[in-house]
Amino acid sequence: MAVAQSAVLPQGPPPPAALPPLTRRPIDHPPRIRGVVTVIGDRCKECEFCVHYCPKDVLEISPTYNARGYRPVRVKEGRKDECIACRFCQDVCPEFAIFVEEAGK
Amino acid sequence: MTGEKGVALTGSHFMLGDQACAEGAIYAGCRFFAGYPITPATEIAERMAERLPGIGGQYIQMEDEIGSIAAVLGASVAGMRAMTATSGPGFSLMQENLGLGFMMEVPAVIVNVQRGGPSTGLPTSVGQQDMMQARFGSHGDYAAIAYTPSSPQEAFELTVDAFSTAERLRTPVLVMMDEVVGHMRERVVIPEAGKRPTLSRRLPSVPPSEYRPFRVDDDLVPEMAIAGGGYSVRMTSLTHDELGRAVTDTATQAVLLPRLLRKVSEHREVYEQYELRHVKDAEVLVVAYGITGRSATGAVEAGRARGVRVGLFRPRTVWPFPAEALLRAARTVRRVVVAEINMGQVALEVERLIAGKCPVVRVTSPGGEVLSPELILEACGQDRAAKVRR
Amino acid sequence: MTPANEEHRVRTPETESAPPHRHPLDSVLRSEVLPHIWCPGCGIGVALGAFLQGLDRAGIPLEKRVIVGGIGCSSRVVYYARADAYHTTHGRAIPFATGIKLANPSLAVTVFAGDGDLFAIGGNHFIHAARRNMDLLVVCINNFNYGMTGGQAGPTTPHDARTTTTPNGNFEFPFNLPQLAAAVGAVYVARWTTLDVRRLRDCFTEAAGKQGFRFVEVLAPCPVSFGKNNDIGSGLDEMDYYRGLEHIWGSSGGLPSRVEVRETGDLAGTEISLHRPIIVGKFVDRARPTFLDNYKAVAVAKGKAP
Repeated sequence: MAVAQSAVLPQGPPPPAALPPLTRRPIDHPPRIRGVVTVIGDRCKECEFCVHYCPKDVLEISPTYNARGYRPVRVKEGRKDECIACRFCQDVCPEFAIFVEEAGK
Repeated sequence: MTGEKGVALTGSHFMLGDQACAEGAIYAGCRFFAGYPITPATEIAERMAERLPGIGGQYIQMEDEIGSIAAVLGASVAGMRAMTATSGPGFSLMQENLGLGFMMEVPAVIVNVQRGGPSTGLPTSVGQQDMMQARFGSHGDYAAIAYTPSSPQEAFELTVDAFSTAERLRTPVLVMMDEVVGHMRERVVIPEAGKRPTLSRRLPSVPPSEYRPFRVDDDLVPEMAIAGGGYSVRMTSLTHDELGRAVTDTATQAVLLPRLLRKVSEHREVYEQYELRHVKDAEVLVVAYGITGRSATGAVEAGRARGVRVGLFRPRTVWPFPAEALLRAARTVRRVVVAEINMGQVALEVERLIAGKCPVVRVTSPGGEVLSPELILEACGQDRAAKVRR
Repeated sequence: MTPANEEHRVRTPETESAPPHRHPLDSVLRSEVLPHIWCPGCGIGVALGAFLQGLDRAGIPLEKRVIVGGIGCSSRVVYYARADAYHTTHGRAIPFATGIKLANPSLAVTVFAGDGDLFAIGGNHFIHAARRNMDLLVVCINNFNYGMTGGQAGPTTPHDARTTTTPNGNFEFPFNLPQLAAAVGAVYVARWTTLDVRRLRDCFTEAAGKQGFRFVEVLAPCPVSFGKNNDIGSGLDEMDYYRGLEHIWGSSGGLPSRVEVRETGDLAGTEISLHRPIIVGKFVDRARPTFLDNYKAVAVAKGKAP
């Protein structure tokens, strides 16, 4: 029986090469919620639930080991503005090792 | 006829030993009973089912004896005085959780109205065949405390004392009755509420942040936080440290287990009881307990009437066995006779303690009948074991 | 609490000098003993987190929380939840919890244990507590085996699954827990996986706010025991199994998902099999008098005064 690979999230179509600039700012556009992620590194056991299930692909395994020999999760370089504070990582983490606060709150 | 708040049935009664046991529990403040029917202990459950609802108590008939002892321990950690009652087969089922009660240090009273065994055996006939099981029935090293009443009056008194001991030492306590004491009717005098004192568990004397669940002083008995008291109790069946954390290493075990044993062995003043009869100048000492204690009383009185210098040592607590008291009573005797309705159980302990200083004669029985005083007295004149003749 | 700057942080002893950030559940956990003992990828921690969120949302105060566990990995939650917690003997958590509840009915008592503890050795206690409608919340972490002892078969091991005591495939058939619980009288019965974290949280919120015998089955990964014996690579792979990735566990007949949410509460077809989708959902939500209701109405009301 084949050993499973972690599924890669499907990528959407690439954005078009050039877009016309927006000329108006929508007046009813809600402010986008951003999340700020904290990882409690010494609790993380590298199970990768959060990495795999983050809908915005914000997380990755870091290269440095914690005291128990696991490499904790971290936010990917350049992806920190993509977190939408859905908190799925916080809810699905078995270790209570990651949580999200809404920026500005 | 009634005592404080109509709960204790102060006065003189003619009642079954089983009923007297139940009344002793109620007198001592027991308000929780979980049990399962089994001859010859069923009358205890029936009495509790009848009495508890009317006095703010809780009766529940569990699905088996294992559930019964577990529920008793649960009720106790939540603050109630709790009891169950059974006979041999149920007592066997309860052994694992008796160990749980010992390990978690939970006050509880467990009554075994012994009958003939092994296995289903003689459900309606007397035996005293569970005495070693009372001492060693559960796995692991632990210290059992077992009371052995010889009459319905003692069934009342010693059940009261069993609760007191359980609360004071934070441990399960056994009342090892037998079918004859349980099913005989005799006069039982119940005193006014409070006249026969019962001790209570010590609750925490410090706030939760300072409380250490299993920290002890010289007393060796920890304060007990109960569920719902805001102390975030943590109790485990695993070997644990004084914070109640499971720490399963030899160092922690080396602290915990000896303390649990010493907690019992160093508090004999709380529980140890025995009766001496004509021992001062005795040449032969009879050792007997439970209903056999009555037969032995008859034997000793008959012997003295004939000029035989025979005395009686009747433990009311068989475990821990009152060793010092026995050795004092047996100091100048030429012979010790141990009479019990089994094939020799407490006799093993007596033989161990006497250690060959004089012959120890066993009066044994496979079970089913009381030993007659004549048989016991006859054994007092012999150096070899007597058997029940049929 | 907003961090001093809005940088995402990985906090380790080497990198942290500022006061530690507290996980939102730290106040209801014994956080000083984290990380817990469960394996990487084990689902018990997920279930515990959903459970604690459920208790918080149902408004159960800390001093009223009692958790009783038996023996097994799942029962070890008693060391991590901040509550009056008791780690008892194998299979006997339910009667122990019964004693606590009857001695102090104001307490919110939960039994948290595994499939073997609750339904093998503990099966008799389960059915009677349900029959009596004892006011208890019973949470079963179903990881299809005895995990703590190394992965032996148990009463919920699916047919054909491999375990250390069924090396050639399980020849027995498992219990159908929601049907069993419904049949013996539970007033609330639900099954979710540890992937359904929000539904699980809402389920616990709902169950914690009800009275009577409530049962929640949580399907959870057990990568080191069950997973290893069945060629499931990791806890993440077993979670993905719940999502329906067909290359796990052989042929799925082209079914779109291993787990289907059933809205109707119908119990038909809810048995768990390697060869069919797993049905999750809420199956029973009813009301009937509890044990204590009946005790008071009959035994106490009609009991004789001495």
